Amino acid sequence: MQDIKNIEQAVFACVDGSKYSEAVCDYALHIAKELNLTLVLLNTIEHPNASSVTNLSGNIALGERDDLLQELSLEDAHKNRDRINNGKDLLKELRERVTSKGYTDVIISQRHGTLYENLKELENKLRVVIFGFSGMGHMQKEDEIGSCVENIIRDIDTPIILVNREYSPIRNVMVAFNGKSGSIKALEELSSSPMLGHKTKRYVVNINSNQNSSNELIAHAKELIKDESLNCEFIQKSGEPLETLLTCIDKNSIDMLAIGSYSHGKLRTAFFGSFTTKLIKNVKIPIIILK
Amino acid sequence: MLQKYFKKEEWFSNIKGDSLAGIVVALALIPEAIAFSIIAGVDPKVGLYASFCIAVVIAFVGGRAGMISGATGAMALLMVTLVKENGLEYLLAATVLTGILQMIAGYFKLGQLMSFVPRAVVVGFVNALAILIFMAQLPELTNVTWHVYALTAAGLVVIYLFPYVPKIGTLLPSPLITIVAITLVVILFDIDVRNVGDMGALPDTLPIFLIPQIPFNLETLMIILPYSISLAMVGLLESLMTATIVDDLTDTKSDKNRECSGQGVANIASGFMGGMAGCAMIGQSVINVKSGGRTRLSTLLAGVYLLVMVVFLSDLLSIIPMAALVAVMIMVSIGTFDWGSIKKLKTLPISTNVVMVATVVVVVWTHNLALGVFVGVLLASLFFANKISHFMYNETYYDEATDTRTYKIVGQVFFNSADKFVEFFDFKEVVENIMIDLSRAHFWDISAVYALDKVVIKLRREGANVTLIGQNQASSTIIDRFGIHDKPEEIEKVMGGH
Repeated sequence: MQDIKNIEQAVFACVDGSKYSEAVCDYALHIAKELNLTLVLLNTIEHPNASSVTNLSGNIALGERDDLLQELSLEDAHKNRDRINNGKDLLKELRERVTSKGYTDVIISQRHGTLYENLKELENKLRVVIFGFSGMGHMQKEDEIGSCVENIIRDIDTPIILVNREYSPIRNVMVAFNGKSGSIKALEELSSSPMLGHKTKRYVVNINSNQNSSNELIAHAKELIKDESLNCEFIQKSGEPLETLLTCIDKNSIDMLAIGSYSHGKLRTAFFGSFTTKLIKNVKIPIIILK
Repeated sequence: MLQKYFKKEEWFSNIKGDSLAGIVVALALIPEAIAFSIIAGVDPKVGLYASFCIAVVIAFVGGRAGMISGATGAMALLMVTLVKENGLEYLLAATVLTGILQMIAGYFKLGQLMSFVPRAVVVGFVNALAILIFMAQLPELTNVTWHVYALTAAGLVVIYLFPYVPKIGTLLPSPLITIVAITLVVILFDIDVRNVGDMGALPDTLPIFLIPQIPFNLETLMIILPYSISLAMVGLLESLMTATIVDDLTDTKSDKNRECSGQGVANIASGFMGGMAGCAMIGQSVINVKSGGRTRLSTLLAGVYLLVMVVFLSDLLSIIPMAALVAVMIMVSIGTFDWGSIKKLKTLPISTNVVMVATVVVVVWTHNLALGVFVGVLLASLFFANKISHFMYNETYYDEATDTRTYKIVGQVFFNSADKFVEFFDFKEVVENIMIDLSRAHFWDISAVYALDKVVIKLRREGANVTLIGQNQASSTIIDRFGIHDKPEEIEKVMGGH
């Protein structure tokens, strides 16, 4: 079997056994085919940062430190083994799924640590990262997407696809363009990258209450798309950005939304919230974050 | 910046476990802080304020989530003479200076120096600390009535047996049960024994910011600096050791340099808030992990609970009999002791045991943990040098045709093996030519070079023609640029010859 250490670049599908794992795998397969790259199915075994046994007796006896170490490591070993076995089964099952669809350039990898840590370590091997959103065990409030997901989006410098529903073929993709650096990058990437296929229809949407600036932005967007053979459609709307974008997606039955990464720092986002976060929370179709 | 200092999973990944552990730890911190204040010779409030400040500050700036810091015995023992001779204000100033020194240590990443402290010294440190904490309880147990012995013994029985009571045994902290039970017994039977209130003032307000009332001059600095250096060293040593223990227990990593500067910040805060210097606590950190504490939240809550309990319950605290406190402290000393190290004495090499025992003896004798560590490290280094000096041998042969004696030296030549190196040569033998092949020898220091010079001069004086081979390669190791030796091929040269 091929070793993850020897791969130069690959499409990474991160699966954790949550309900979208199969969809993640299918989207990743699609992208890997388009890019003709190895598909890596990655499962991470996260160390729990929480305790499960409660002993509040508050005393320490002779040799207690050694006993406690023994006890805790046995407990962890037990849990880890379960998680490893589950992960292994999942990876094998998904590899079967991929090979049965005729793609053989696939390898599976299981690693310790958080997804963020592992992606950071593998950063130079990543071409595209795909993972399920609404992952298992993340307690989320309305405006939060889990610090793990946010950190990955911020810090991992490759395109990221968030999968939040079952797989359906990507026939078109919409990019939200507001003229800021993030969306300019997203648009450039979208028009030049082979990742999404040449035939896929591109929608460029600008939501703007000011008609003049909207016209200017769309003109700018047209300049940015150098490849004239692409099938593009430009949409101008006004209204509340999030609502309008969502209806726009519905109306045109869009298959995937492309956006740029966070444009503000972490501190600002923590206090004022972020449009990116809101978008990720509310959009019902897979999102590709381009940088 | 913010990301580094505020990781969500370091705070809120274990809220239930941390909240409960925080209470258990706070309850255990109170008797310890009082007891350590008594050791240092200051009012109990000094230790209680210190534990509060240090716990709260370190929760934010420390490098090890889930570790508990506060006023400690190791630090208290170092300040006894300072308090006795110069008073509390000098202690507060020394505490601030300790913090500054620790911050500097953190800035220069001196936490890495910890790697020079061998395991045997660490074990000796912990065991010596346990013995000192126990010995510090002895004044409470001498010249007292039989009641105190009875109460202390009863307290220990409750501490160790209460956890075996079904159901509530693992829900209620046994030290708390002990304190409450013994206090009730003393009140109900009206037994005349010393209590915490007799030992000095307890806090009645929140701590306030105060600049120590000392003359700001060189003389003051010279008084407090030696204490601050010892305090800073011992504090960092115990903190880094405790961090390693928590690392092992929870199978997670800690940032040792951040811990160093964090301890510094915490001590500065403590000094200005009227608290004594402190550091991480081995016993408390183990209790925290055992109770389910994992994140910074448990450290913060321990400090906050402590202050709330102390300020609002100071009247109740003052009636706690010292016997109950002594029982808790004996438990702490027993829990701190590394029992495994005694069991391993038989299997470990004698040199390791000597280092460990020497560390313990020096500390118990001088009551100074810094000195013990120094002696331990020194001994361990000497043993190590001695071991390495065995890695040298010589091959010699004589060629009759040319009347040449060849010495081929293989191995490590340095201060400890230099004499042995000289002894390889037979100065009595009369030969025409002498060849010294050093191509597989390593000269680590100037002692080795002197030894070679001595040999060459002596041989020449006896009338032989001396030729050296490979001298340059041999002495290339003297150069202090160890960077190049970290490469595998360079290491191979040293290990296997050039």
